[in-house]
Amino acid sequence: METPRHPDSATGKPNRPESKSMPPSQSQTLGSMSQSQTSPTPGGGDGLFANYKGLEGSFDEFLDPDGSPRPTWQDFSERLRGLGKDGLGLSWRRGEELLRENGISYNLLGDQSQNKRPWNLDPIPALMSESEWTSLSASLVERAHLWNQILKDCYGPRTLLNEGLLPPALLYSQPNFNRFLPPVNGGGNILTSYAVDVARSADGTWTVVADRTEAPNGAGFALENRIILANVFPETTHKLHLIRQAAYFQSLRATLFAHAPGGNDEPKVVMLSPGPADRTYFEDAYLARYLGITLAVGEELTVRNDRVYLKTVSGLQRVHVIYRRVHETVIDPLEVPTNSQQGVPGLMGAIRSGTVSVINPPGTGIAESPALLPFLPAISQRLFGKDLSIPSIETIWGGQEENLLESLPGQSALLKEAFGLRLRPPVQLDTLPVIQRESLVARVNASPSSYVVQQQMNFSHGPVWTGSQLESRPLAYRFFLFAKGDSYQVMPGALVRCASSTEALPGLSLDHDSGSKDLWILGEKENPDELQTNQPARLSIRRSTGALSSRSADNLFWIGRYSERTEFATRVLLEIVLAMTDDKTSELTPLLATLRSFGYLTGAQIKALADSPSRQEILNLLRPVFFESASKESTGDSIPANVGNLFRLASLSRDRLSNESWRIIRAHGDLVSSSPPHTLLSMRPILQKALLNHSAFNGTCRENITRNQGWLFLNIGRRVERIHWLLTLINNLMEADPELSPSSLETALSINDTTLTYRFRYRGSPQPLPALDLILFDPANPRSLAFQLKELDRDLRNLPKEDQASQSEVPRFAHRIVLRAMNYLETELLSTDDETSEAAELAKLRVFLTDLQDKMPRFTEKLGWEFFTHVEFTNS
Amino acid sequence: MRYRIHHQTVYKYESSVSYSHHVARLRPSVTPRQTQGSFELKVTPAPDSLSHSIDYFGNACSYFGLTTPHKKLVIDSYSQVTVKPQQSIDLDLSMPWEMVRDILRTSHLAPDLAAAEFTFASPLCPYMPELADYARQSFQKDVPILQASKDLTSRIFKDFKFDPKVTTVATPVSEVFEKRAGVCQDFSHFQISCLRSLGLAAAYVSGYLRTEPPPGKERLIGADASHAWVSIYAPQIGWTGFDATNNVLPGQDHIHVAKGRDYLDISPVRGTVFGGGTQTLNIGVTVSEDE
Repeated sequence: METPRHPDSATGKPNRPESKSMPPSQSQTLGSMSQSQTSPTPGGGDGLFANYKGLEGSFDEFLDPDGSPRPTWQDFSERLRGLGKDGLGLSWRRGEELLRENGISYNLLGDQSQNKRPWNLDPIPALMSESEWTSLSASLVERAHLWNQILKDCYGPRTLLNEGLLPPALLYSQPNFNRFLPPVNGGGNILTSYAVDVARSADGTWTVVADRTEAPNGAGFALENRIILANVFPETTHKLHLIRQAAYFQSLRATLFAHAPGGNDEPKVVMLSPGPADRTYFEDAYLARYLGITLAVGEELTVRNDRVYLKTVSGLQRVHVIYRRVHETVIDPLEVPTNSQQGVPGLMGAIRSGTVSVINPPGTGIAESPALLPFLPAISQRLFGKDLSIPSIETIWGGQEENLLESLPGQSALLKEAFGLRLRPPVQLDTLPVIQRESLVARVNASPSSYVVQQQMNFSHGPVWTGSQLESRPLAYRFFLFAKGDSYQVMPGALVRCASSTEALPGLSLDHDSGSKDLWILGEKENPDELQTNQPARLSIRRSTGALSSRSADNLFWIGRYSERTEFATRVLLEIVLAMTDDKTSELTPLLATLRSFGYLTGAQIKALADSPSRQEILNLLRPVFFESASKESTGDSIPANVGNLFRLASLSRDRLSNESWRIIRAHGDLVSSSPPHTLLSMRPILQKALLNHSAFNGTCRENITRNQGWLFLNIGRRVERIHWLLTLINNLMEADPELSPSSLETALSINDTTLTYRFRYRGSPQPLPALDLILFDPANPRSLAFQLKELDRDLRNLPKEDQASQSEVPRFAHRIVLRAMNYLETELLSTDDETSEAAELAKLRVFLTDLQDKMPRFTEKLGWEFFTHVEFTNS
Repeated sequence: MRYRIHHQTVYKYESSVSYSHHVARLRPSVTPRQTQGSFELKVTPAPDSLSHSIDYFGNACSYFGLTTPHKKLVIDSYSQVTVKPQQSIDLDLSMPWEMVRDILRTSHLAPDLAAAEFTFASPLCPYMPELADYARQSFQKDVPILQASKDLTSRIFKDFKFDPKVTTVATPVSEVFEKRAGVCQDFSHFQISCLRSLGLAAAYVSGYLRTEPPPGKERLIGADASHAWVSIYAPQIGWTGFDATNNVLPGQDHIHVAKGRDYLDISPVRGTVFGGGTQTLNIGVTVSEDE
């Protein structure tokens, strides 16, 4: 029996849902929860701010130097005071539940080597007045324009190089300088998406710490943070005149669509993501869903004749705009050979032909090099005739300075690599041990122009919730900008990073283990509902959601398979437990053989069992099949592994599943990661609970998913898997007990969930032919073989035709397998006449069942070949 | 001298390739000493698309894609080119190499700035202090740059053994230096790394050698495949070629096809292939005098 796996799962262990344990902060506040609700401490804030104090030498966002809240904070801090510790803890529980429920994590689906980390959000937002934000925004927009001009020049006339304003090294030494990018003509932008990390110095002025010009990330997290905090402080956000972000994202979406070349009416926009193994995949998926654009990975896109297409189950679909998240150095393996499979061969050619717009075009990352910062003021003067309105952090490039390591004397300074892709972490120079300094000097002297030294500034501080009180910690802000027409729009908000302690520095990269905060821009007056100002034209009615990408179809097919596989395995496990409860060890053989057929048990494990195994023996055998903690002992397949795959696939298909299905899978993950029981009998309620989850999942799949192509693949997957199990089980039963004794039949009926139906139809203990008719032939039984085939027949008819033009009436090869089996079940009814012997009937049936079991792998292969072909490329 | 060139590239795949993209840089370039004749690129099976363009470095390149499933791909290029003889260069009259180095760092004149791009490390030609040391034996104080380059070329010819079995396309320069052996591509990358480690501008040149030598002369090494050599920049003089594999300055026997920072910029044929399994590659080059 084949036990096929989803191709994505071939390597590595499956990811499992987050552990259920709550952080200590929650359990602490839980105890006093009811108390605070019934008798809130009036006005006192019960010590929420008691230990909060600003830090010497740093600007405090919350308190002014006299120790009273700054004007922007007055209202909000009053509200916090009103909530008190306990109230805040209680409100925040809601936020933490949302975080958990939405499965928000950074590197949600990363590989084994990286730890999956839940997204760390602080309930206290950073606050900024509208007027301060307006002036800061103007400076950020100005900086975006500056970078746009610099990039256009670097990929165009290179006036800045010719005039000596930019040393050639800063362009030509950069590994991500893209020699295949065509120049941008006229007034068009090269930099469409831009983010900038800024921090506030001790004197309250702003400084730019880093520029993100390639494929900035974080806006999705900022959006998610906002949605969660809006749930935590529902009225507060409104009362404080918080400026909403929806309009920004609406306009971002409009910009993406407006980039389609050649005035296309219905352009196809995709987000090109590095895929589930990448750290930022969660955010890509989240943002794509929010923007209503297709999320694609490299292998889903193909270039034909200098045009980009998305592979769908209905054929190739033209793509006009790509919102790029794949790194620029691996974007086109044809131009720059790479081992990465994330890119799209031929993409640069399509860009040069002007058939597709890529945002940002690959190559804009050169502006992220800190070595460019010292040259900005002069370039700004040259291009705009004025200074930058906010400075960059003081930076010295090794190409300018003889003694780079001594270039910022008396200051706390960092040594960073100037260019490169996999940067070594910065080195803090003033606290560096002498020995390390020597080797560093040698490294830097060998190639000074590969390094910069950067001043380390004191970031401003703001209140961070520790779980029991507020503490003052350093903050850094990432603002997001998107081109709109010939200017830039700034997202009203930011992804604020807060350090993990008062002394630490906030990590700017999302890799860094720092917390995050939302930034609230507080309007002077109430904001009109911005959404209403932008009413779209009247929509015409449509019922399709567009073509289904081959990969989504594949994922849904495997969601169907894994969910059914898990369910059927659980049914078999439950049957084993029930048999042991009644001490019917003779019934075990076909059940264990079925688990073995699907790789959950090995032949050796089964052989090692005593003739009449004890309950303890069986418990030891089954524990690794169902419980995650025990599954690590075995090398075989396990239900936790299946659930892990299900979880992973479901997160890839969240936009096509119901919200409930997501929750059910998480709940199921919790169930299999619970600690295993000590007796076999206590496994029973756990397995029954598992079946309840499955019923819920099946229910939501039937009742909450639109009947579109995606649903067809989900259902086909489920039916195929159920046929596999049913055939295996019945064949194993007949193998172990060719006569099919009543107790074997009872087992089969029980797993098939038709014990009661049988009893209603027939009296007495089950007989082979009537029982098999119910399990295999009866199309009214939703768990019968006939029913599965009938569903497959219907779904296969509804799949896109191989050849759209001919609408060919010839059924597919896969379909013919189904039709032949259906025909058999409809016409070759089991005969209970006295003339035919029961044994002969069973023998004939077995031939059919074995034959069908042999053909099913061909069915899957044929279907996969037609709809999901995955091919990896190699360089030649 | 007029030449007729046939360059054949044959890929054989273990299993069918479902579709593929390729880029080829096979057409001899236009240089002060070279004029292009006809050029034809024949791809079998026939490609769905074929377009010709000029790349970043000014080389002619051809992009093509195939969606016909195939287990064998044959790329034939037929070109004609006329090469004028090299005018004698007085190597001693070039600037001292240190002066060239400083000009490349500071000059804002267009040709110097364009050459500056070739002073930086590239994927296959890294900076290495050991190589700078090796080069300094030729680049002694105040030696004219082209004189020193010629000396470096002769030393590489003497110190390194031509041996196709020691290296592969992926062998790094450091290993070539360690083994003191390789093929034209390795010697070129090595020489470029030496020169760039000193702060000089050096380019990688791919091209052909005439297959049959003139009467009475020995056949050049590398004449049955693509050849490679280096080109070195000197202000006012421009680019001058040096072929360490044969210890000569490229003259009428060398046909210039493409110029880049290293092999990766200008590989004659490369592609991205979907499916196919393991592949074997065969290349044949014939350069004959055109009557």
